[in-house]
Amino acid sequence: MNSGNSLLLRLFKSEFFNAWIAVSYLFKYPDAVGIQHYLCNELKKFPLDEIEFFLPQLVHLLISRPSESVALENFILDRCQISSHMAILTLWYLQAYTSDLAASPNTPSFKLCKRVFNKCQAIVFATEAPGEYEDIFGKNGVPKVKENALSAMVGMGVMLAAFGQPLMTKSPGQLALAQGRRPRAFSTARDTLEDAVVGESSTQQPQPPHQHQHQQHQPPQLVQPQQPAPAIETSHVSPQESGRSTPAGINITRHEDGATSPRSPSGEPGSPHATISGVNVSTVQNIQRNHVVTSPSLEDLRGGQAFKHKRDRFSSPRYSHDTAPSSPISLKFSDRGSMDGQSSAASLELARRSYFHSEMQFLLALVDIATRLVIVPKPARLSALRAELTLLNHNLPAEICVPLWCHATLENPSHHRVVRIPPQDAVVLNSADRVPYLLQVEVLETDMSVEEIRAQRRDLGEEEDEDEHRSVSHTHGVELNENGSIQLEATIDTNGSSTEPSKDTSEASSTTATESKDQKESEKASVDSIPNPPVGSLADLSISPPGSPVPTSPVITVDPSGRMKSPIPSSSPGSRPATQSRSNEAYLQTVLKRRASNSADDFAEKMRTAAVMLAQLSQQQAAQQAGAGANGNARVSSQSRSSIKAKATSVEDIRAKIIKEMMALEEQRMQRMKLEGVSSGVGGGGGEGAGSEMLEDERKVLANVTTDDPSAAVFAEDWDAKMNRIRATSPYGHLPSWQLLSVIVKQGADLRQEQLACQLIREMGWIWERAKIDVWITYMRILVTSDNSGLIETVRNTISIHSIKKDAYARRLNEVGVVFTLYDYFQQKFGDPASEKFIKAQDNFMRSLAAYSVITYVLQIRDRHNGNILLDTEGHIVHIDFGFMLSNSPGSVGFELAPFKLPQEYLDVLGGVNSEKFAEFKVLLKKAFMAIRKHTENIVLLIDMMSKDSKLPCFQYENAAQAVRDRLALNLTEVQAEEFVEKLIMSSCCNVFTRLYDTFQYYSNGIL
Amino acid sequence: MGKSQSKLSAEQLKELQQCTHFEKKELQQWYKGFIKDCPSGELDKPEFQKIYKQFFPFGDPSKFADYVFNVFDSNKNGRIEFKEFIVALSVTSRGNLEDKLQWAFQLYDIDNNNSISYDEMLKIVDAIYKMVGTMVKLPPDEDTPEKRVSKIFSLMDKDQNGQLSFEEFKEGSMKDPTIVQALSLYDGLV
Repeated sequence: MNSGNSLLLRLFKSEFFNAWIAVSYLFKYPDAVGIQHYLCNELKKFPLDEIEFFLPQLVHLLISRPSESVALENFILDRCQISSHMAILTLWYLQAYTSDLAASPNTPSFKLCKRVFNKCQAIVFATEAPGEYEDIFGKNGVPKVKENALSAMVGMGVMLAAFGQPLMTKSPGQLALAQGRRPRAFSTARDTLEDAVVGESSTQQPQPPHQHQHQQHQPPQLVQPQQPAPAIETSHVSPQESGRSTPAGINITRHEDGATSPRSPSGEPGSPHATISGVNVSTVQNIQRNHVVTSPSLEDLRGGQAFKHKRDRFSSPRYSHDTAPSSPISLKFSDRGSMDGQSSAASLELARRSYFHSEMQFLLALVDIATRLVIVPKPARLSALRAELTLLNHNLPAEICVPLWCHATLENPSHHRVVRIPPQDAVVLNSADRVPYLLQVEVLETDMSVEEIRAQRRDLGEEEDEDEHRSVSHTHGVELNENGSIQLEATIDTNGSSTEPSKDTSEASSTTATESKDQKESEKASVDSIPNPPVGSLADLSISPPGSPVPTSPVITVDPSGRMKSPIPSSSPGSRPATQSRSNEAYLQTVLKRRASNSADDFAEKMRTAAVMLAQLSQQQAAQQAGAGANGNARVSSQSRSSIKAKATSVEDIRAKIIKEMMALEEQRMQRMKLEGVSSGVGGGGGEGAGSEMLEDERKVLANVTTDDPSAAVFAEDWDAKMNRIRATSPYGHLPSWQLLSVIVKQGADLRQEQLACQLIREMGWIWERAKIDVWITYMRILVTSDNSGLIETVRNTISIHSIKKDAYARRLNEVGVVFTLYDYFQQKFGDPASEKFIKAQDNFMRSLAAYSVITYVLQIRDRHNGNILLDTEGHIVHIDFGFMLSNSPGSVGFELAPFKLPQEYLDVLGGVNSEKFAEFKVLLKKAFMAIRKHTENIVLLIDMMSKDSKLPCFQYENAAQAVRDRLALNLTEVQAEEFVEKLIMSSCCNVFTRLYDTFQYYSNGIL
Repeated sequence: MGKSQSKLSAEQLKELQQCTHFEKKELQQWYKGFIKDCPSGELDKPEFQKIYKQFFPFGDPSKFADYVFNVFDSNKNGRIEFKEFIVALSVTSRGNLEDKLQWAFQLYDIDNNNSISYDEMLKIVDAIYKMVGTMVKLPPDEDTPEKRVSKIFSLMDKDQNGQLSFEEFKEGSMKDPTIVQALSLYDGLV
């Protein structure tokens, strides 16, 4: 063993040593403590982008193989300390794993995941991780060791060696200490504390049984209060808990202590962790709660400060836990933390936290929009999306970057700033049951602060006084909030539980912390699954007036004219004071009056509100069904049970009415825009200037709304043209560092497999690049924000072959009855096959086809219908959508048997099987294949590392890594392998199964 | 001490409190940790070596581990029990420098005659070098065990009798800040 290991050391010290070798040996020796520590130390010497590339594998290795060694955990956390991108990416990965593992909370993997998540979160939000503060720091603030006997015995041995050779004791001593800090599973005072935090609501707050029942109906991805890790809730938390509600009360001061005077390095008594030791469990968990990042609420968005910390916007002490800098800080945040001398470490910490917080909030806001759009009926989705984005725009520019797209590095820590999202250029994408959408994000590659950016803003003739507008709507929002939250509570009471209804406003706000905690829990139980319940707006469109008794029927009523309004108080006329009624009446008038006004935001708000009402409606319905289904639930009174049926029928009507109203709103907006032009500001607000060009675009896009593929027009537009168009209409477009990102926001899909595919394609691209093989590929950046959401980069200037064909048929480019092929398209697009343009495009096609043929074969990428294959404007082919690869294939149809897709139309583009181009193609493909074969392990490692205990569908059926090796025919000689590739090509040529699959797709999904 | 009982008895606690710097609760915690790591309640030499191999994968720690084992195994029964472990931990983490040096002296004084011969020192230093391997860059005058031992004796063997007494060992160690620092590894951290 030792001789083997000294060879290993020789490899590690050789010139061949690189990050890839380090990562692969980390993977090979998971339990070898010394090797793990050595390699992790070595990995610190590599640039962060190399580490970032391996991050999915490293995190998977960490979580799927809890080992004796703490090296990897320490390494990842150390990288998170120095890089904000790394920290955020890691936090999201861990969150995804938390969801994966939530079903088995007693496994070492889950415990490890939770612990690292909390530590990572502590880094992100600059706080102490739970269970990490009591009695834990020794001299100089260095963490103490725990009861690890083995590492202690090594540590003591190392001390003994001090006399013999003190120089040799330093790093082994540190290793023994690092291992000695490994947490032990058995209970200590602080572990108990930690456990209690974990047990949280179920132990601390015994809940009525019906709530548990209710929770069982919740979708699994929502983190429930009785799930074991409150500190882990990060995204799916309603605004009620984010701190606007009183319950956060107790912990506030604590939190502030921690924030305003971060732990001094000396760890002297009196520093925050010392004061925290006596805190009870509920306080501890609330500390964690405070860092829960939620997507911003409606009034936050309206206020335009959603991505800023907002301490001084509210004077009420209950907001004071928001510890971010009180004035709009000129935040020159850098990873290295180089602040000017004036600023203390404390303010840096604040800046850092606020930065992280805003960034996560922004991305969650994008994801939440996709969630809400699901409930909106198809025809109204585009309008709803634009409405949402218009509101979001009010909060930009902000100190936010989009990790993965942001170029900031340790050496050059200047992050880009998101300045605007043009709502008109966002579009809903077709999908079976989810609503991904595409949007453009304008960023500035600049060090300017947001204030400086705002000052630089070019006035595009927009008359609206933003500030005034903002303050007005803000005040309004707060007012609504008060009413709205009460309202919401009441609604919940009707739905699920039967707690005593309706506290009045003042009572509610003065509720004691404990009480409101109960309340919070009960709210949470019912509310969680409503995506971001919009407390303010419920009252707005009107549901039931503030302070009214708890309604027993659905709160929304619709009068015959189709307008939504408050229910007529006939149900309990006596119980409501006349004054209240009058004020409600008056309020309704203001609402109506405001509705009649024509500001763009008003449209946006109404659209959003309508969307939100739809969400609530379907929520209600679901809850009722659940309630009705729950046998023997004594809490559902007979009265309410009888009313359920009646409700069900009316709900459908209401839904229809809301949709109708939404469509009407959209039409009205379009109409007004045409009539009044841009000056009315109806164009979408949020800096939407727009001239006739915009109008033109709007029409073009709108024309597509009615067709079943609203995205086609958006994809068809040339990227540069689009960029220039958006730049011309953007108030920030004149700034030199202006850039445009194009991303698709997805919710309801686990993007980790897509990410793995893109990573593998990228790796193959590098192999070819190093081998100087002139093939062409592209890959998309994929940002995973949880196990069911994320961002995908769009491939510029591409359109799916399906769309190409559909468009051709729609425009009758071929005579009726004649099939339109890719070859026709090439001629139509690039001209005569003898022309230079065509030849160039043909060559591009050939080089990309060679690469993607190898890729799809090696990775067994399936579901290769024309909707998943794109063509760019230069003739390159691009494969997307990697839901089926490695070991899984589209369930019912296992007949995609060709090695790769090479139909007649591809051959036609290449000039037929006897052409020179085809011969060139074969040669190139062989070269590409042989290069991958030579570096099989580069590919296999990435796959192998991800496969253990993986939840990804591509790992469910076989040893995916071994299958990749098999496909590369490693046992063959070079000559044999070339013959093998030749056979692959020939069997792919016009493969009957390829045709069969395309035909199948045509008949089942209408894909051409 | 009984094999893998789950907790220390009141009697055992009392005894251990007397011979260590630890409180009851700490003893109980460390006992739990010890039993978790060594379910049989004791460690023999091969097991002890195995631990060292984990931590020193690129060298050969077996010899050094054996010497260290002998220091831990104060009753010389071939096994390290909890009591031996915790007493050592008490000295190394909470003892004063003199205590630590006294404890360390035992390692080098292999034949237990109260002085360290050149050969004894060479054996230990050689074992250390073998354990750590080539991981650490050493100054040229210390890059072999022989050079290191010669240097030690030239610096510390005041009476130049080829033997280091405890006094010489102590004085020499205290003069060398790197040794003092290495001996404070666990100070305040346990």
